[in-house]
Amino acid sequence: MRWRIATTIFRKELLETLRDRRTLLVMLLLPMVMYPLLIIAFGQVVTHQMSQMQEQKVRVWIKGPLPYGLRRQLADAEAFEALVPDFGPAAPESMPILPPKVDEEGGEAVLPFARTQAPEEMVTWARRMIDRSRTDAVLVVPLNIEQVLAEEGSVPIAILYDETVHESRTAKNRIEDALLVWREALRDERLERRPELPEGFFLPVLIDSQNTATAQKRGGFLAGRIIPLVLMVMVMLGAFYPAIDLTAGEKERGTMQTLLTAPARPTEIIMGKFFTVFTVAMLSALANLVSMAMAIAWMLRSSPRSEEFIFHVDFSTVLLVLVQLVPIAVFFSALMLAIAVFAHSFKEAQNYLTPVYILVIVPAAIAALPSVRLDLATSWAPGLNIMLLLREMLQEPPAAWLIAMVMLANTLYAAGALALAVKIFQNEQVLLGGQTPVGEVLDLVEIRHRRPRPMLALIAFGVLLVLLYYVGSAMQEADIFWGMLGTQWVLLFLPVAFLVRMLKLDPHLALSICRPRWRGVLGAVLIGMTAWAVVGHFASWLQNMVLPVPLEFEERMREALGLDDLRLMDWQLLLAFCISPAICEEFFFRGLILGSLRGRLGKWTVIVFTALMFGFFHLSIYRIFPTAVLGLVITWVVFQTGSLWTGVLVHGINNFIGVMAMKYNWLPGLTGAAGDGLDWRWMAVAILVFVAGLLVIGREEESPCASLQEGDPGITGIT
Amino acid sequence: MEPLLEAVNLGKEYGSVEALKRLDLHVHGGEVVGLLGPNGAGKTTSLRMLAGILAPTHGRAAVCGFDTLRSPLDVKQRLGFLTGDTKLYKRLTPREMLRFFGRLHEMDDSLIAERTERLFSHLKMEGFADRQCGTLSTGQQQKANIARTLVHDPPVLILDEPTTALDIVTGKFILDAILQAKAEGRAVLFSTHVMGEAEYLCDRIILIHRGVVKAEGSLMELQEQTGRQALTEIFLSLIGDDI
Repeated sequence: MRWRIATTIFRKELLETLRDRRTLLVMLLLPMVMYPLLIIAFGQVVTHQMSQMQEQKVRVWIKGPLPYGLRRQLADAEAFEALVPDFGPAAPESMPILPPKVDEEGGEAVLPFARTQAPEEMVTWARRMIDRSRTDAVLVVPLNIEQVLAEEGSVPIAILYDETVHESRTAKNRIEDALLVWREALRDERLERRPELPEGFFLPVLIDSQNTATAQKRGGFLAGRIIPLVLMVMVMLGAFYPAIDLTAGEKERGTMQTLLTAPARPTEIIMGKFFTVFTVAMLSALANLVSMAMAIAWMLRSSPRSEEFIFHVDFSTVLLVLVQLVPIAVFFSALMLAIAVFAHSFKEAQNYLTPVYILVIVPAAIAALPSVRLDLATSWAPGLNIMLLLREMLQEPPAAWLIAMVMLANTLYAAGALALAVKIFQNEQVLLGGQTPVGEVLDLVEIRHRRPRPMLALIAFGVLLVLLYYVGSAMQEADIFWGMLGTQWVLLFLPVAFLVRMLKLDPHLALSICRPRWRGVLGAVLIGMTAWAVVGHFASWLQNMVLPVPLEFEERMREALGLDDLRLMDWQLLLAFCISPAICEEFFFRGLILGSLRGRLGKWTVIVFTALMFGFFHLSIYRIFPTAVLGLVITWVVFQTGSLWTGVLVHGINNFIGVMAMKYNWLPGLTGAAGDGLDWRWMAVAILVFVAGLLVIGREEESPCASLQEGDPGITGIT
Repeated sequence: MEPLLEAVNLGKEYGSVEALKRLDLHVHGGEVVGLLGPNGAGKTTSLRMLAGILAPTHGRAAVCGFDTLRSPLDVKQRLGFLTGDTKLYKRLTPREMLRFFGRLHEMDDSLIAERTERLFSHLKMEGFADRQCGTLSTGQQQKANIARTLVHDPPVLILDEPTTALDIVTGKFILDAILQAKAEGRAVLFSTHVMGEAEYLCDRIILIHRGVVKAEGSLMELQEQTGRQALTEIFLSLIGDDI
């Protein structure tokens, strides 16, 4: 072989590959950006979970008498609730001390310590109680404990818990910790009395934790950790290649146009293709489910601890799992067809779809967190809901209404994805391989002026609310500073920047990004400096007439901002609560939202609508009104000046004064729930300055962006 | 007699790019009309609009009286469309291809079988009718493609460079098939880069350049109009320095 030739070819191929920007994006940039982001976000969530878990109270039922020392130990333990139930089987008089468990073949100890055995009746009862969530664990203490301890013997104590239930495991660990501390204390007491005996001689208490989960449940728990993720991945993989082959592949092979010459409607074409992709995805899921279930069952049967784990999936469970997978397969099949059809070649489609594929990591990672369970909120989280449902179905079927809720949510998502795919397939340019931007295909962008249509703004706002609810709140709860920055820049600013880039929007028309005139700047500064006083007091007064703000809410706000304990330094407050919201929220609301509505409705309808959206964005009934009123003023300013930067100025100055006033108590009463107001002289000055600002801006007539937007008949919607 | 294929003030814009400014044409049954022009002249866009697979920005087109925008399915039922971009399914045989397209045209299986046999015999395809298209030679593939175009017996044919990349023998065979279609009373719109083919086949010729029709008429009329003999010279004289 001639290495020189091979090297020449290698260099050319590498050059071509590196010039393929999409490959670079998917292969290098995406992992470089995505994983750090995922790790940061995941780290935040895990930290939050850990702190929640530590605070989480566990319930333990005690059966039998508690010696004084142990009672005190349990009472001292934090987040621990010990109760003595007056029903259930009675505690045993004594419990046996069994030798360590020995491996039958090797004769070696499997468990290094002596064991005990709570009465079978007690174990069955404890299992039932834990299953019904009446308690997290049961501590069984023999009635003869005081006597054995007095005789300096060893007393066995059993902890009955369920390894497959997170709370139960936590309860077991906490009881074990308390028992160990108590045992140390007992041992030290004995050592004091008999210092001549070696330390190891004393073992006053034998602790044995017994897992009450049935072998079937343990098997299901193990399988539930593996099967849902693999099923999801396999459904996606099942849809991945056919979706590409039937869209981009057809275009690449030149058969798409052949098909388009036939008398078939676009809907018929997409449905034919969709059913193909869906069938393959479902077949892939079925094959994987059956094969994996058999493999896991075989693995557990052939393991040395086979009697402890049984995995058996009956026909009805397989059927139920498959039924739940139907909307998932519909969703992925439709979504992948919708995305892949934009590509001109197989390779390009792979680049488009790989990020979707990688995204499944997010719900998988969240589902792996121990305390994440299927409930009303998670049943609507796409991806996560099915993983949690499948996991629980393999252990013990969850409540029927939860199963129905997941099915409903996923059916709606699937219908949405299918509608999207049908809509995209209606566009002949996309099918023929033209370079049509997504926004045009979905009718989200006004082609002529490259600005968003109201539908785009509504979709973006809807998605923002969902993300704020699920992600933003959790991030802010975990860490207010980083959470705020994440919410502002990742959830608000990034989507706007992404939409402008992807849909090739004109930043001037779409976001009103242009330099304001000096009048606009002056007016914005005057309004920004006094809005907190005038608008804040007015809104506060009105709010208190209709829906008074509870004092606890104000305190929670102060606490959330870290104002009382001075957790956040001034620069952090400035960055998180003044600069970032001023830029990011303005780009979203006065940029994208206002840009999409402007000219399509009357001036005041647009202003009120934008302001209301801004109010709802704050996700609290007590904040909707004041923020909407402030939004009204800022939207009017931007509308009038035609420049987004005036909105940024008003917002930034207003937040700066508001936050600093709260922190340093500049003006008592300003932020109080009662709205007891400023001194009237200060207020008079503030009103004068505010009105001056309004007048200056009200006289704005021909700012660069405004003239561009108002004067264009295509935009006003009149023609 | 009403034209079977018709375009009035047909135009197409892609954003700010005007791919076709204006096209007016009519093709009657038993007539072959040539649409000639260099790359980027707007031929493919015109043909796609006439076939009802691309919506015009302005103007209208009709096949057998059916508007391409309002009744695209009726148009496609009556049209055979063949371009360099209409390829075959590599994993299907020609017979399976014809059955598939016949069914899309809502033909009975018995009718499809009968028509398929006739086409295979006429186009001399019996030897490879049951081989997967991916294994066929370029000429065999083009024959299969023509059979696909004719399976539903359309009165109108739009053929875009059907002889590209074919050897002389197969090329001649295809040209004869077009003449046969003409003899059967079909209206044929034929696009090519090969001026000789246009001279050989076309009753009328439309010369198009940069989205604008430069000239239209029979070969003789064009010769008279420009004072040139060969179609290549006629075309070059019409576009002048605007290359």
